[in-house]
Amino acid sequence: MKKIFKISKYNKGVSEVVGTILLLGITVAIFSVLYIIVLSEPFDVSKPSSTVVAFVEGSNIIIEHRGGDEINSDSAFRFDIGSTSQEVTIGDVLDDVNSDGKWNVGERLIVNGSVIGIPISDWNNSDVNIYGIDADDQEVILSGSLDIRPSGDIGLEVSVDNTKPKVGDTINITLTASLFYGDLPTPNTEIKLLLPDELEYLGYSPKSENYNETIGIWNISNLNIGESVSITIKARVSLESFNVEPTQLCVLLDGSGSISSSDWNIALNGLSDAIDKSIPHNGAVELTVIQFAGSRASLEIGPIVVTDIESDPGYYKTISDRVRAVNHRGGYTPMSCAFLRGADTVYSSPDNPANDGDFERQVVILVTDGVPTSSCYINDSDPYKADCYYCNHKWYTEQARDYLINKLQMNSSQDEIDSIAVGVGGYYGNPDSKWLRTKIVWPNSYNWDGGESPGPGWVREVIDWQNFSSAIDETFVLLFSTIEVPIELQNSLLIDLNEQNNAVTVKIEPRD
Amino acid sequence: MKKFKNSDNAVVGIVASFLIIGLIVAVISVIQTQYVPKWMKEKESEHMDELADQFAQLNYAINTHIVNQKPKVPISTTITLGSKEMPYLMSMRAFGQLKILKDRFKIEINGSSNYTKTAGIIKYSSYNNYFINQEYIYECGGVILNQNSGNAMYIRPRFDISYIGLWNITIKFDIVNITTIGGKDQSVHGYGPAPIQTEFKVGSDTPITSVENVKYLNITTIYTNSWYNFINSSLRKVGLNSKKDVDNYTISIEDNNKVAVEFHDNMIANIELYYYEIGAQIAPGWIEERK
Repeated sequence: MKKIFKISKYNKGVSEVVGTILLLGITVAIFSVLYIIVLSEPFDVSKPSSTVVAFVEGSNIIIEHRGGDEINSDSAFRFDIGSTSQEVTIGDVLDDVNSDGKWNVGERLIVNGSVIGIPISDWNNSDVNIYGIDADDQEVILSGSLDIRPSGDIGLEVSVDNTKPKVGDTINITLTASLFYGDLPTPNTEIKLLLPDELEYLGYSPKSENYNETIGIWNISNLNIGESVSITIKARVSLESFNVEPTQLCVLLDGSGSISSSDWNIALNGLSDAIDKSIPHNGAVELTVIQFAGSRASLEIGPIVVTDIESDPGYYKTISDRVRAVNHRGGYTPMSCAFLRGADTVYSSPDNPANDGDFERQVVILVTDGVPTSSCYINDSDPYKADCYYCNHKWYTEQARDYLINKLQMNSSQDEIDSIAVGVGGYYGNPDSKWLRTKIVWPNSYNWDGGESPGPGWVREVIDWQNFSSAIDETFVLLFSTIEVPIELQNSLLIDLNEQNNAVTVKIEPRD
Repeated sequence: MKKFKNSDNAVVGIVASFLIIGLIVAVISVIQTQYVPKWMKEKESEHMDELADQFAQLNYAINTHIVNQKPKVPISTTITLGSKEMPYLMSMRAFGQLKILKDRFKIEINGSSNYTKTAGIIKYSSYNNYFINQEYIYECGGVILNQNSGNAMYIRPRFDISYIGLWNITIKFDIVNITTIGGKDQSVHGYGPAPIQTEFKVGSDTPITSVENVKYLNITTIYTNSWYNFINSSLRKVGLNSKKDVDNYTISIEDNNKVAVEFHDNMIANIELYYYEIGAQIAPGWIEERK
């Protein structure tokens, strides 16, 4: 006990011990602070690397510096194509714009197949793996793969020497395929041109080309860059096996007082002739004719299916005779009434799909020489009788047209509302063809000048009723007798970068 | 004196203190000289990446104006001018400058008719202390990255090329002109976020001009390398100059500020130019132009 007391009284070295403990404490504290604040930052600092982008340009691989630190020209890239591998030093392929010997922003490595000894844009290779290493710090600067399949643009063009031939005429369809641009001349390009039943195949030229008419494939053995190859296919027009999609055709005919008796007769004769000549008589068309005049829209013909059976009430000659005999009523122009009556009449027909009929397609042709001058109310007890003579007739007509579209559940891919505006530019005045085009026809707002079809939903302007006769005939030809020949790029080794010109359609409108 | 000399009391403590302080100073020195610059370089590099994103957003906003074509509907985007220093140890903050400059880009076309148009640009310049200085420039529909050593097209402008026949092309190009109120150049300098507001002024989907049989296409710009590579790539991608020994066009940089394209007689080039004027302001808020 005495000894212990003696030791405790001995205080030599106490300050060193205390000082050391304090210093250790300070050291630990400082290093703790350093550790928490500073050393929490990653010591293994990632180098702010350069951005490098690789892409294919023709038969070259381009690697472009897109910002960041410059890269030493001793750095290298490795290219793996198939089972072959090749290493290239940057300095050997660098387009050194500022001549400083380093790879800087905006500068490119242009790697040509001949430079690396491996073909790029080769039919046998599909992709290349690229791996780049920075020589300074051995860091990866690029790693990935590129699609190097040959690419380009093959385009098709077609012309027909006679788009309005008579049945039995011979026509020549000339098809031209061009390789607008591409990495390589392209072998074995296949284009499909299969003639429909309405065109009888007669032969093709030049004979050096390879066309199989049975499957409709034209095989082009070699298509050079920037060059075209053509083939002409000869065919005879035949309507024997012509197929028309079953169609409910509704003609809304203006019978207002602005039309003279003689013009009315011209109009009816034109319509009758067109029924005789240009409407299919094989039961594929159901016809309805509605006259809008005076105070109402009246049902003049149909709905009745047009046939070539003499004993049938739908015999086309019987129908055309009935059309010639339609009475001209004169007076106002209740256009909206015609749309309402047309909608209800076509809808209630047994041929309409709503009544389990199989006439899926509906076409409405509005024929007028003026603007609406009276209107029908949709919800009226007699919706086909005009009640309003001082209201906004165009607005009511638009409402009635919308009613027709909805009632018949018209489908823009097959159905249409078109209009023939008689008198535009002529003696009789001006149907508002702009209004007809923008507010009435459907589903598009085209003008049709009688030439090539613009597509469904058009207005045809004619100067008088004499011209109406040919216009209604051409309309029926357009609607029921157009032969379409789709042509498309079927097969090509080339990756086509522009698909817009890979398909074309020939439209032929045969005359009886 | 003699007694003091002979006394070695507390010597260990002093030596240990010196050693420990020396160690601490050494460690901090190493961190300050070796790691802080790297950390700061990385921080500034990240800021440059952020700027790339912000310029992509700015480009998106301007494209939205062009698509919608609705005047008096400003869209705001933000450009972060600089990056802050570290909260400990010694480091420096980075600054930046954003400018709207008029008439820095010019396009000239010579063909069936001649046409010249200038356009303003939006330019950001960094004032970095550790990472290399970079500039991001919105110029005529594209975003360019510029460094002392060169420049590259970061976002491509519209330059649609379509064939209308063999060796017969039509190029559709948008001229996007950045303008300010009164036509004055605007700028802001600092390190915080700077809002930039843009609005649609003039433009339509109908070409302002169509030049057929173009012989020369000249672009005057500071960033010649970007436009040279961009136009050259665009033309090559559609197969021009792809035939061996047949050049359809020649492209060159003249006087360090002009990219000159000459179309040869073995092809036909037509150019449709679409013009859009976009008003821009840097200041916070929006100042209506006096009519």
